[in-house]
Amino acid sequence: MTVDNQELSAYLPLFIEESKEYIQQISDNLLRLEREARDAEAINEVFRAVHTLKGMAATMGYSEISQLAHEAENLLDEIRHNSIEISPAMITGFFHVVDEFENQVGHLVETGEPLPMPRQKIEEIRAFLSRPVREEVSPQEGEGEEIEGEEPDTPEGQDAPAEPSPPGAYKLEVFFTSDCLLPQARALIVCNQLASVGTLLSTNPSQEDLPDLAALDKLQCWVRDIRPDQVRALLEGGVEIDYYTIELAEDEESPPAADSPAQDPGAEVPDPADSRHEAQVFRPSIRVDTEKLDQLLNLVSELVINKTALQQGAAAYPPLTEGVEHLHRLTSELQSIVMKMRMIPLETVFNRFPRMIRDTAMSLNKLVNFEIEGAETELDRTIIDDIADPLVHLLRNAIDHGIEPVEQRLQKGKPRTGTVSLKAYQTGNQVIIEVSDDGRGLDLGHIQSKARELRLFTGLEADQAELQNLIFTPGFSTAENVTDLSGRGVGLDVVKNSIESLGGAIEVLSQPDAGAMFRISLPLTLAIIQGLLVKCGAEHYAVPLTYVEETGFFYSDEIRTIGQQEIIMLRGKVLPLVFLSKLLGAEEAEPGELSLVVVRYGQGQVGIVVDDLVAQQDIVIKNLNWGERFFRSFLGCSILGDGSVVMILDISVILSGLKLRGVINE
Amino acid sequence: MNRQFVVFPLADELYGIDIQQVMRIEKMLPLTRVPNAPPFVIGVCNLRGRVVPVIDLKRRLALPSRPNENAKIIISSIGSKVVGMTIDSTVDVSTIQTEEIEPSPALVTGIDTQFIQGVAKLSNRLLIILDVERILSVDQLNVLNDMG
Repeated sequence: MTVDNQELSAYLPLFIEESKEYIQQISDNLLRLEREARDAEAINEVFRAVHTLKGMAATMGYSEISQLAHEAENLLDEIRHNSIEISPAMITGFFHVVDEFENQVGHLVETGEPLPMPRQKIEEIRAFLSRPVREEVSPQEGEGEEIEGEEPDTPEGQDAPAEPSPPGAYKLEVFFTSDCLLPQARALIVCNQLASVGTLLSTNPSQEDLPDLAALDKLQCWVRDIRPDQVRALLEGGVEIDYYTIELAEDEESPPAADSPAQDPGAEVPDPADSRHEAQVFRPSIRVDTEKLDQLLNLVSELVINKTALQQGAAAYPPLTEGVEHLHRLTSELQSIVMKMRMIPLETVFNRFPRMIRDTAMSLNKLVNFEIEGAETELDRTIIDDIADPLVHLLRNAIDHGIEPVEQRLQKGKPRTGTVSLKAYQTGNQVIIEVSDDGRGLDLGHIQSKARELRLFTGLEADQAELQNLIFTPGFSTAENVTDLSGRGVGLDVVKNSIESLGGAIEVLSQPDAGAMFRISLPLTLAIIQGLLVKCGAEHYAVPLTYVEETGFFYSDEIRTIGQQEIIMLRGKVLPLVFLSKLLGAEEAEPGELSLVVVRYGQGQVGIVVDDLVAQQDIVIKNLNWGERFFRSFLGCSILGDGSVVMILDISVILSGLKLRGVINE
Repeated sequence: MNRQFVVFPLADELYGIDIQQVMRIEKMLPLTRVPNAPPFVIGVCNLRGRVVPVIDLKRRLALPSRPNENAKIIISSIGSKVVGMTIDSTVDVSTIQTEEIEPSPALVTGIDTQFIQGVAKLSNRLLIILDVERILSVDQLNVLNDMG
């Protein structure tokens, strides 16, 4: 039942996407089983997902995946039928299979080819999967179960003997497609075909009953004197046969008595198509190529730019005002719908964490309970793609350095099992993600001494929050395990950088022995933002409005200096100043009236001095995707209504650069 | 086999870029300066709604460069990158037999050999074939950026 090669490649993207969903389902449910071994529904879910994956892989001709799935399915089926409690060893075994699935699919994504799997590896996994059960299970057979569950098996399976001599009896199950018009007739044909090659011992439903049945989707046959490959030759590609399974009938398994009740049609037999529908939350939706979404966004961006140009033009020509106003509303609406289309739930990233947490905790010998909240929170696709790595880093840190070993926890009077939680929610046009643990918290003493060593503050007492946030300073955490929150060679400064490059921010809150919380705030979208256009010499720059706290004017003679730092007094408070022209090497402003953009910076504020404030408007961010390192001071650039390009300042980057040079001393 | 090259003079030499790497050739476009970029990145321009970085090819090749209002921009694409390179003046397209292209001699041109794919004779002049990929390589740019 394989599709030919040309058709295959057309299905590959779909296969990959769906496989990923099923692999995720398997993984999720294994984790459920790990918590509650008797969760029958979880076993069924795993079984269904594995089964569907097997069917899909077989159709695509990926025998590696289907064989693997087949082995897992066999064990699962035994577990299901015999109500075996699933052991941790089995779960680990299944996770091996999941890893292997992921490898395979990963290879498909990269090369379009399945990863050849050595026979040995399959044997290993088979051994791994079969061992735990065989020991504790006495095989028991019963008709009821036979009917309930399918026991699919491919002819290549373990039971197919290599030698051609016809061995004992085989049990064969044939499933008919749902659109099969007369399955009863098909079943009779199958019976006749089998009888023509070998000996047909018995069938269920019996051949006599077949014509009278109202419906039928599965036929069980017991045959002998026939080889699996002969069966395959008969059934493969058979019209209206969905799939079939064949296995050695065990000695004690005798064909059911002829009068066994005909099965209730369609009641219990899981159809692969059905299980697929069940597994997905049903929502009327269509899959759209992400490239098309990007194109759509580009077009809308162009539209926004042109609308802005038109708005500026229409200001001088009143008859146009109403039409332009209408256009403005339509564009805004269109823009918000396109933005919403690009939003995907954080779930897609969060999903893979439970498994990672489990593995990390196990390898460190710690007990960790992992909680996820708000996985349904949505973010722009481009941000989702880049948020995973920083989160992995923070979560690992939380387990590695936050959560104490069990003995220590007990000594401190904490519960044995530590809790790591991941929480996401939206406030305004920001999404907040919090990674917290109930571990030991940051060691302020260490941070303080390290900060002195690095001369990060000069004599002044830094408050607790400022101290804690020093752990994001480059070079702070790598040397030795100073903050107890690093130690993997990659510091938290990398986390901070990647978050900031997404236009977000990160801070840490910690209480000794109560735990630490990292709070990440991210913009909902990166594509179109509100920006403030400023003039600096002859050049224009855009400042994202999210940074701007207020704007104002002042005269150059109001500038004072403290040490080497220029400041002004704003409502009685000291406001350190930064001259944009100096930062960017632009022409310096003439003395006189200057404009001020007050931006949030760490716990305080900084005043950015510019020549003039031009306008506040929608800004479409265009990425350069090229040589990002020297465009680092910029979030990207944008095209204005007049066609000129304006650079969008990344305030956090240009200010953090300053701090290192010691321009701002807080 | 034949290869076609966009041929243009720079300083005193004749240079060529494989036509397959050239999207189009534009007149000089208004540029926006990118602060803190390496000196050969002279800005970004708006190419029909797409923002494209522009490098001064002469500076990139360490040839003397001065502003020129007749300059043109070769828009080149390598992979997903689209970059403009300024050149002095008019261009030509020439066809050259693949076997006529020789590896670049170590010391013939005075420009860094890493940017040269090979040389060929073109009506009694030496045509230096540029390796656009190298010229636009971000790694290369980063190295230079780190150094300077």
